[in-house]
Amino acid sequence: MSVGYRLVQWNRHKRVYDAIAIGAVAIYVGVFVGGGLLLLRGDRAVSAPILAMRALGTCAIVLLHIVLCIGPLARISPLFAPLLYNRRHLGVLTFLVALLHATLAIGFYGAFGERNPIAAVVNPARSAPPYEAFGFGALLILFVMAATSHDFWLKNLSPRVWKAIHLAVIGAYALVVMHVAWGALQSEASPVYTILLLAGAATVCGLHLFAGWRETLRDLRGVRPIDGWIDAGPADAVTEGRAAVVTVHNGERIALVRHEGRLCAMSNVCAHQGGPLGEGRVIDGCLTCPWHGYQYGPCSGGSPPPFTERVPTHRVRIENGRAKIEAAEGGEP
Amino acid sequence: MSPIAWILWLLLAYLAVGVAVGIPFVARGVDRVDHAAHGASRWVRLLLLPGAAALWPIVLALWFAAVQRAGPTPARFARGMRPLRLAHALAWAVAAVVIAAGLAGALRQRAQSTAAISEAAP
Ligand code: FES
Repeated sequence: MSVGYRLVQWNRHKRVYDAIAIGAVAIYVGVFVGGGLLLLRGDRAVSAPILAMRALGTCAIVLLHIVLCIGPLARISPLFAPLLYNRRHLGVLTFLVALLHATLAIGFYGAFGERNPIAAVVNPARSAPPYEAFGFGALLILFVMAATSHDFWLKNLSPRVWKAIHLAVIGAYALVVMHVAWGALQSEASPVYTILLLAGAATVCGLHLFAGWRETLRDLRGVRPIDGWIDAGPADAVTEGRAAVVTVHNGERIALVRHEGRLCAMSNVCAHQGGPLGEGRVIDGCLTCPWHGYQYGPCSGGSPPPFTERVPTHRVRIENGRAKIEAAEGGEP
Repeated sequence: MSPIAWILWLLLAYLAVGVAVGIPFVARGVDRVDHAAHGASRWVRLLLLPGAAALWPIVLALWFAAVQRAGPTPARFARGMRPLRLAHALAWAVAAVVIAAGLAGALRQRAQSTAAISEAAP
């Protein structure tokens, strides 16, 4: 949560997460290059810079797949929510690895003077689609994502605009798949890479389509308010320290939380990145977002001082054992 | 000049303007736009520069709005997420179709060139 900005909001968990991610990248690249040098000999020998370029390229693709699978997995099951915690760092790492891959590719081909590397992007001497331009386009989008990943942008652009800008990652993914399919895959005799790419694309698209379909169904089943009050179901269904998510017919979602025996309601949308507050639980007297741990007073909607984040609240009343939430925001709980 | 060359030059021009706007923004503008940025270190400001250069039209709008109201951007609630959820689901549906078509085209092209090479072989 933000009081002042730091270069990187590191804590112990994030350091461990980052160390594992960077270590895994280093091991992957090392094994890829070392293995290639050892195993590919004679006619099949490949130089170290080309191996490094391929290692970084494939590594960036693997990372992008992981980053893109975390979101829908966390929406499908809260079991995956911990992976979301530091997803932004993983995204920045993906961009840095892709940038190294592109730098090596452009520098390497330029140094050998066979092709002007810029001309290769601008005007490839083929009629087939320009896979270099696809890769460049994807890198550009990943740059914008990484450059605007700091909390400053999230807060000042507003989570909605920030998220809308970050939808462009879908385009980056499509461009990456085209970059590989129209580039490396064209000269690759082994079916392994083709199968991996197809399986990766099917997994990423399948997970997103499934999660999106579930969310849309949930929105369509939203409850309509009667006389300005929303029926949230049996009051005792929400247990102490836990919350439930109520979808209103207009698509907004409300978290109904029980704290110290009392039911309170607040927007389900976390002020940070729109995480589902109703899937969190009460920790240290605050409803805690399951995505990155922002906290809100269950009945006030405000973060504990010195933090200043706030989400709208709704009044709650119990009628014949059922919890009713006022549709209008802002009422004292 | 090819269309891609035009796009690259336009991009370069866009980024050049972005850097020109971004430097004064990270030096002074961030403090006007967001009180939490007061006292931010030089490194934090440097880290914000690529984003400011990439989003300079939005950055100018934020800065202008902060000067107009003589204060930072007020906190906004994250409302209206349903259109975003819909846009997200739709974007993935379109991407899935584009990816499937692109992959099919690429695999067909590879099969054709492999066949051409084996025909040309003695
Ligand atoms: S979305 Fe990040 S803490 Fe809630």
